[in-house]
Amino acid sequence: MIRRWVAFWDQREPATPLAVTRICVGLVVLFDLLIAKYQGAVPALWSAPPVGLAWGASSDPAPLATRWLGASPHAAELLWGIAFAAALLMTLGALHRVAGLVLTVALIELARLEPDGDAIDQLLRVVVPVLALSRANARFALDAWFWRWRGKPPPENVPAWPRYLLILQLLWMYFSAAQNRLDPAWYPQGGFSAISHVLGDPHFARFAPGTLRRIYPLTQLATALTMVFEGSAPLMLLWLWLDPASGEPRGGKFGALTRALGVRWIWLALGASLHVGIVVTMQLGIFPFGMLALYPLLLRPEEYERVAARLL
Amino acid sequence: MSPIVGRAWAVVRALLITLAIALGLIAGWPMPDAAAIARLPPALRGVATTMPKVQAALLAPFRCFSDPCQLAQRWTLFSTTGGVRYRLWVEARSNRKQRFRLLYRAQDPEHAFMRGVLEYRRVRNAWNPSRRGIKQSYAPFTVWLSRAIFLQEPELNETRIRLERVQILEHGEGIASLGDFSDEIVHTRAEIVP
Repeated sequence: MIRRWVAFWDQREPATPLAVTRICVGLVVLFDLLIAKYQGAVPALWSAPPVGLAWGASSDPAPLATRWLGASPHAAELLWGIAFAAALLMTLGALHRVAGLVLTVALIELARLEPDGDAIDQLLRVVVPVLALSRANARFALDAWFWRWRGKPPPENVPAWPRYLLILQLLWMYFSAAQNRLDPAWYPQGGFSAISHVLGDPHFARFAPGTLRRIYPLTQLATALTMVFEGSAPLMLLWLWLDPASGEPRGGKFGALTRALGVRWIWLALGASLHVGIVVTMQLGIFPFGMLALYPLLLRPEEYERVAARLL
Repeated sequence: MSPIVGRAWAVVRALLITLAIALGLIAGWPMPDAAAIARLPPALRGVATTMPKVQAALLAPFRCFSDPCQLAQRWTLFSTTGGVRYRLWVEARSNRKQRFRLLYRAQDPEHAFMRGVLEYRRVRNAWNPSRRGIKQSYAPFTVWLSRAIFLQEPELNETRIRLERVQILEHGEGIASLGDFSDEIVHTRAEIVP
């Protein structure tokens, strides 16, 4: 059992899913930082009061950024610049490990200065270091190109554990969200009214509250599907096991049925629709994009190769 | 890497991953609130009230890492919806004899002063109340915003920032104002931009 557990985490596979995820996550972080800059929010967010909102700068112990750089608007711009440069390098796959670790520290420091972050910030503080420790730079990366130019091409197969660990993180996030839904509005006894409520919240609604009343039944359906999707997240591990890359038939008749029905793909499509729905109807910033950036992990390297073979 | 070192590293890595997964599950384990505990049979109530203490004790050795890195595994996404919600109002005036002028109000395209930055998600996090009420960043937010208003609008000398309480209506009908406000903070130019 222990030997199989060790062997499981020691598996290797082509780096494609990790590389695509690295690019997607990097782009999401870059996009978010660029919006902060474009809106002129950098000094506001990461300078100490009264110039900014960074009340975390006065916490005890003070954030490293405050100790090293201070908590002035200039320090905020410098920290932003470090985070932006690291995110850019990570997206390009240049100096990947260093860039990923610098970005991890920068994201932690940004959060310590401004502790009232969202769930997506919390998630990125887990995802970025795991990606940094992976060999996500073995494909679609300047590092890989440089190694090839030096005559030392990157390995065909890289450790698979970062992908497996990030899949567990993603599935746990959904499942935990479902567990923590205490509001009856998410359940039949509350009429599945939760999403309609959120769409009426003046601080999150993209359209004026009440605009979408004609599609109220659709919002009820979306609420029910959200709970089914999130509550069934751990089953994705089963769907993945029943649909192995080797094509080996697993799970008897039940496995054959899930493969024939494409249950894994239905779950993925449901998740993608949920996040696209959020993009269209709510103002949640990078949250839906950050979540979708992790979906490439749920596809196997062989599936990328099949798509590439069809396209090219 | 020699085969022996490689094998040893595989074991160490599997152990570290197992530890990370175990800690994540412990940190993210759902804790029942007081109302849920009250509904439990008496035999289970003791277990439920002990759970947070056990969780805290198990995680204590790792707090020196998880706290500064702000790592957590309980994901509360829209755990409560509906009921009473809030709508941010930003107002200002030149002097006390005048009425306050509305500069910004959430979901009001007619009053959209600094809308881009106010609705940027990181700034919104500072003023949007969570299910536990306003955040620690709300007061610094009002100071920062007042300062920005006074610097941009030299004729304005007093700001009032507050949250209108609104009721979310059922069946997607929108919102209804409850006619009152909470968390009102007034700042003067003399206090913010001396």
